[in-house]
Amino acid sequence: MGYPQEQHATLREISHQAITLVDGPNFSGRTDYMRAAIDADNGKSNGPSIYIGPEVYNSVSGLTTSVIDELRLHATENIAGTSVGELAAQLGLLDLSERNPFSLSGGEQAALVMASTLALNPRCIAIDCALEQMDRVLKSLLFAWLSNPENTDTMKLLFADNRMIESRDSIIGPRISLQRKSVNEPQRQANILPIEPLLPTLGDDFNLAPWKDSEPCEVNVDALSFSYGKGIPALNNISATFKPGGIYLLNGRNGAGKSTLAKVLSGVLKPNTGEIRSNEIPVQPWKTPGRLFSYHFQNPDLQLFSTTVFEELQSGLAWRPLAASKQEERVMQIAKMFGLTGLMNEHPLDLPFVLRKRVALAATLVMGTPWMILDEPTLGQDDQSAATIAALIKEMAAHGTGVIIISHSTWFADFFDATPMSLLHGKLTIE
Amino acid sequence: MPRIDEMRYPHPIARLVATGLGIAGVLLTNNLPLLAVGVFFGVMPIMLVAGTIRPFLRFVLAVVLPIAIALLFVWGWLVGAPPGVPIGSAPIEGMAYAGVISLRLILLGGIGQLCLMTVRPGDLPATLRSIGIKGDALVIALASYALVPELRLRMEQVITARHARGLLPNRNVITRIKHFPFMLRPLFGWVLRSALQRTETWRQRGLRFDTMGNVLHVSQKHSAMVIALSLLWVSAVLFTKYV
Repeated sequence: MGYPQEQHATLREISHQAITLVDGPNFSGRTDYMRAAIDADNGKSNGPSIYIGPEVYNSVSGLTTSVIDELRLHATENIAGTSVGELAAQLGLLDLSERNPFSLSGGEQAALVMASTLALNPRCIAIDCALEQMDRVLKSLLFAWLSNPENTDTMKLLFADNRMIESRDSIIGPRISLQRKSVNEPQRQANILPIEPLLPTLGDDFNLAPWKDSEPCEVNVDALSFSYGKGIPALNNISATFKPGGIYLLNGRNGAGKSTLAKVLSGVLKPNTGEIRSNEIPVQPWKTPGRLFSYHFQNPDLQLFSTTVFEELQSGLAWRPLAASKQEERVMQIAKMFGLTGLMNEHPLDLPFVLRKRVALAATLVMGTPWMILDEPTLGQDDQSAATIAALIKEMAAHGTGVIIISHSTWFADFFDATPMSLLHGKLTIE
Repeated sequence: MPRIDEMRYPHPIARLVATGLGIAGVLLTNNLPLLAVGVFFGVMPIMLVAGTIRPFLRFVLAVVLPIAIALLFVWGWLVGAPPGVPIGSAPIEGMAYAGVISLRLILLGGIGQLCLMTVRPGDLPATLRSIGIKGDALVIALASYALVPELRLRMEQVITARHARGLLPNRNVITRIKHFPFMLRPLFGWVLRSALQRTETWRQRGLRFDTMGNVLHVSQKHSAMVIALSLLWVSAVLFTKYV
């Protein structure tokens, strides 16, 4: 790994019984730093050293089909009654015991990965932006457990998070600050990937809503209900009015049904009952998905399916009666906005997480729908990028595009004068 | 957390021996009533107790029934006799021959299902290890077991992504079949990528497959019971065959 020797001294200084913060912007080498720490540590003593990246699902073993079996696979003894077992219960994992680990929400998956990793009694854990999808309650429960010396007396913990601003006060420990030019690896990476900055504006020549069906509209939702199979309703009799150009902030615990609501509104799921109206005209998004609401997934890897970035962005226009040259023009305009013009021939899944998230955002914006649902749009993005994305969202709203944001980041939410909504036990409350 | 010690399983070795004896019995006999007894008074009651009757019935209806109808048609009507007998001379015996093959298929499938499907996924590592599957072979076996549900989920996710992008008008079976070729590419790419990433996860976690997941709760009573049942079955087969 192309890592400067002088940094290894710092790796040795990482203390036990403390959470070491690794701070720095995107491409400052946080990931390489943490991976180097893990590699340097692995095999030197008892217990494994484990890196958990932002794609937490890659840290699920893939060898089990239920949450309980995933926990059992990692434990050398029955974890019931142990402190890790208690942590799993506090994180709500035992209520999800029969669920497939890959069907969990992002935050639930992060909780499972943390509990199963801790069940291994590791010597060192590097948590690289893996907890951004966790809600504040789960995060504070986890940090309370990690901060207890009885649980982690021989464990080293490295922690990086783009939402560090919110975590700084609650985590006490040494801090390692990396700058964009402080390590070699990002420079090498920059030579391979021509990464450009995000543009904080849509630009004068960009038509945000170019289609007849993408003109600003008011959306009314009446008595919307949805349940998976015969289970407990994920959405229970939801009614709301979304004003054109409005910014709405949807809050709720992990697994509360936020993504389900996004899927129903965008037409990916058909509600069991209820009605959706656009400018008082009843519409059925499940019959015409991608027309009224476009949906940016929380996990970009579940949204991306093409073999190049260009194809990925173009796919949202494939069904529009639009000449190829016009499609290309729109795609390139959006690619420029998201700093992707040099990456158009790359495979989206070959890009780092931060860029995959940007590609997914761009692919949503390209559709030009009157409403957008952005599920954790700043996942993996540093403070500066998050602020730029906030500026873009505000500009879109000013042009009449309505936006529903799902985010656990209060820092990001503070950028907007948004209407807060919260989802609890399938019930939606608009404040 | 469910009390694991409340669950009762036959020991993997007993499971393997009982399966071997069961299959041997099926292959040794061509006695139609005995095979029917094996299905209705052997495999099906055990399936009911083990809670695996539904997949078994699905297997019978979807796989064996069409084969049985075809066999009855061929040996009972077209050939009109079992093998080695002049054509058209013994249609009843021809139908009995078709019945024997069908019941053998049902029994073999049922015994296989009982052997594999009654193992809780969480007990799979220890079960496989106890019958001698270790190291890389164990990882491959476990990964194969989890692959199908994971692939199914991933396919749903690709469909969801394409649907959200407006590329699928709906999610019914016909649309899924039409769009299947478009699913293959991301699925294939995903399988390769996740294989690479998982390798790193397993290596880093030092996944100690030879010690992990070794909470196997077996019951001597259940082990003895499956061995006894399989011995009874083989005895019945030998009795009807030679006595």
